[in-house]
Amino acid sequence: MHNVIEMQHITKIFPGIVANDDVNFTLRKGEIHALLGENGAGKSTLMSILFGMYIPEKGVILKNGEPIQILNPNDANEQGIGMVHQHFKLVEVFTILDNIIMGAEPTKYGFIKRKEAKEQILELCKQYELLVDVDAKIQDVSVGMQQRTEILKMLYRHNDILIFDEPTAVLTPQEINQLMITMKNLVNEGKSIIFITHKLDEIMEVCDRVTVLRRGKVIGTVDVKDTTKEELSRMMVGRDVVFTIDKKPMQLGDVALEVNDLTVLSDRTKKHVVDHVSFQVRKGEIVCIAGVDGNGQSELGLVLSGLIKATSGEIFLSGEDITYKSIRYRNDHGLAHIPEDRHKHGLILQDNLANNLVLKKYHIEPFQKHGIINKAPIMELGDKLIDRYDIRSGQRLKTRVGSMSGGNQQKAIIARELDKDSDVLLSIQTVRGLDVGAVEFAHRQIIDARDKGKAVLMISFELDEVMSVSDRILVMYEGQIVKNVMANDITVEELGLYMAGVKKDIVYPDRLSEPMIEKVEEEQAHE
Amino acid sequence: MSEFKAKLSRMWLKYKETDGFHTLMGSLFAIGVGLLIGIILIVLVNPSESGEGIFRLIKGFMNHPRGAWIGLGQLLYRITPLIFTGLAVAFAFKTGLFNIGASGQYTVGLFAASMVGILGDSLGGFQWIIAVFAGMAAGFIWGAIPGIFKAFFNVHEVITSIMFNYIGMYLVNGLLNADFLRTRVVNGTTNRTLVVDQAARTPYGPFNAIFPNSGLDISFLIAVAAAIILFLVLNKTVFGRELKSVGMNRDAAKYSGVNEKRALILSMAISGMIAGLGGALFILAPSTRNLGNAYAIENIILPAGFNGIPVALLANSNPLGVILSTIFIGHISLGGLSMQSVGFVSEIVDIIIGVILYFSAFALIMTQYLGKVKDRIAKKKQDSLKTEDVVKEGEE
Repeated sequence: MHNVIEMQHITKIFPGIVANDDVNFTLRKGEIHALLGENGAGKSTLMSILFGMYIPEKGVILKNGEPIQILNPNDANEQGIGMVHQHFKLVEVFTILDNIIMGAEPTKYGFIKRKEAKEQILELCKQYELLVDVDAKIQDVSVGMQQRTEILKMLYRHNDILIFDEPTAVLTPQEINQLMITMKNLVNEGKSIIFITHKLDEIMEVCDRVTVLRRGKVIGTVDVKDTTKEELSRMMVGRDVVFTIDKKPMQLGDVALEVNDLTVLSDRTKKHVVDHVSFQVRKGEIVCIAGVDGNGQSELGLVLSGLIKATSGEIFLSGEDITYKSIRYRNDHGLAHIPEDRHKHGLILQDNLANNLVLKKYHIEPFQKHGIINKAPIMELGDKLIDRYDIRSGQRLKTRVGSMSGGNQQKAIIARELDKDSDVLLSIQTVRGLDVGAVEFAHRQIIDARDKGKAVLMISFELDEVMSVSDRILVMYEGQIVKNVMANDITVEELGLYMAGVKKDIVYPDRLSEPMIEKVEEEQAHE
Repeated sequence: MSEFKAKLSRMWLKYKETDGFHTLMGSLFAIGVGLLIGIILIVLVNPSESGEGIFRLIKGFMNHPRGAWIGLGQLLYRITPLIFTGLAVAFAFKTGLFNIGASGQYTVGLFAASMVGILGDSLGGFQWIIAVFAGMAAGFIWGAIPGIFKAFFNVHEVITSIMFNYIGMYLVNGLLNADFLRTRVVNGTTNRTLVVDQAARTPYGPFNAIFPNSGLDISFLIAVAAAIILFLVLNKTVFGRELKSVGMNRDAAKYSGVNEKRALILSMAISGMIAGLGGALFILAPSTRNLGNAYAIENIILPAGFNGIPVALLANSNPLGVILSTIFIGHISLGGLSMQSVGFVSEIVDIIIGVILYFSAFALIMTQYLGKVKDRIAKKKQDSLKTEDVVKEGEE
């Protein structure tokens, strides 16, 4: 098998940071080659160079042994290089068909030959077993189908070198399995794939070789069959990584967060997205809400943080009714919140790191006095958090947050929220986009917070996280809590049954609404 | 002395790295290009008189028949309303809003102030102060309405504020044409409002002594004070940080605990208040020859608000920069006026301002792009050398 792509001695420098330092990378024909590294290790930069979005300071790119020039994504496309970006580049109001052919439309006298294009695309779908509804609009289809649209875009353009930038970060477990199958199909048809990911299990499952980057340098390229997860993570972070976390036995305290019969009505569908939910979280425990994405967990997070209003029900924070209190009141009275969408809610991307680290505090002393902002303590706090949480950036406090890598953005949020002196930590998708080292660190921090007596409510779509961190698990299905169990008392398989809605318990039966009981009874009757 | 010099040069080096420096350079670059194109135009239009024309254009306020000093006074007098509308637009820009309705806010401010100025005889020595506050209040309300629409109904502020230019103008004209007001405040023969009472006029302050008979009054000082206050509010206070954070990312501001609806409305309202203040001070100005200003009841939107947009853009929305950019634009406008007497149309100045705006909007992008092109050329050379090496290595 020969090398389709060789990148030799690539060096790329950004202000204050060497993103790629003399990197060599080869991709063989017909392989799935994983690119592994910590947040900010230079994976995305390297692939952006291959895709023509950055031009390196030094280095050459060879295709089939011939040197090629890639100055922009069009050049890359002509060379048969395609990329599925982490955040999809699709037009929401166009159909899948239009999105696929956009920019490469087959035309006759200036008119688009849509019918022909459709046949061609349906053919591709069949060949690679990609299930899409070509006439549906992007805004109406699932994330998984949007991703398949991106893949079809590359195939339609006859790309044979495919780059996947963290494709599984946004997918549900089922969709991930499907993507793995698709990737295998693609290489069987002679394509070559570069797969950027943090998840070691995925690498072990589908990849042939893996190249590990650390702080801009290549640590090594190894065959997957000759290596282990432990070895890969050691290469990646430069030390041993512990996958299982030991926790001290929990020291339960008072109830810090209490939710009573909480309901959120969706404006759009007029359905209860959060359906009469009740639970308590005590100080010193980590409660995790598990469930498949889209079962009302996001709305539950939003309503607890105050970003949306509850339709009915009550929320108590340390005994105080905060159902109708403002967001700032909640922030100032003991609620820390790591939001699900870090770009929308968590950060002001145009602003610098210092201001983002003090985002929830600049209105209180000592960061202000008599309404005048006090710069010195802000800088002090920023320096402290950057060092303690190892937030990597080009120009430290002055760095524009939008220019930082996703993982480091997330670290900044975690730093800000954990540093807040609060009784309750609401953490949603805490480790999305973090590498194994950072995941370990973030989980450690959360467990420390719990040991210090904070009440932690996590919302996670990832079973691994749920099983490894939580003390108690609540399963959410279609807006209702269907299981309340200690983490030690349940297996992953059983948890999966509850998440899929196959099994349901009646939790807090005295507080659940009538319809739910009826529904369960009906189902039982049915059986 | 040398220590001072060293300190100065250190400060200069530090300043050179800031964004402020880059935008300043961008603006100066744009001004240079604008003037160059203006000069080329002048030469093309009338080569024989071009020397004198260019001279007069550059001389600007110094063309004044009573000398450069009085010319300076008159320049400052003329540009003061523009500073206010420029500040209004700039403040809104800084908080992420495009207030294109400064004209309407200016008009209602002017109207409210002149009503107090004409009818408020009983107020005595406080009449002009009350009139100024009335103008600010009117502008505040007129700015707040588009803010409310944006905050609660998500209607874009450009649409509502541009509509409120018309609504404001017709409302004012309609009120002035209503019998109960027309008989008391309008001069029927000229179809203009009466000039305000003597007690309602803003004082000259020190300026009548410094710039005799130039018309300059304390409004200019109020404008400078307003610019400084806005600068401090935006950059040094919690309130300003909140407003700016809503402008940068409304969702994140909300998440961080800012009442984002209130902040949006306040941003627009404060912007309107400044424009209204400008209108009030314009109509209350004691003015040259002590006749005072009057509002002409015509169905035309006052251009003062729209003219605030270019000065805000040229200053990159920095309130202190607005003063400088307004002075510059006022300066070449005066130059344009005196160019007319040697046979050039003053519209050349509009072209120059247009070109400057065009380039100042692109100056930053262009400097970055030029840097990139330079890099690319250098790299191409390097790469071609490298590739040869590699190919050779391969052959070996």
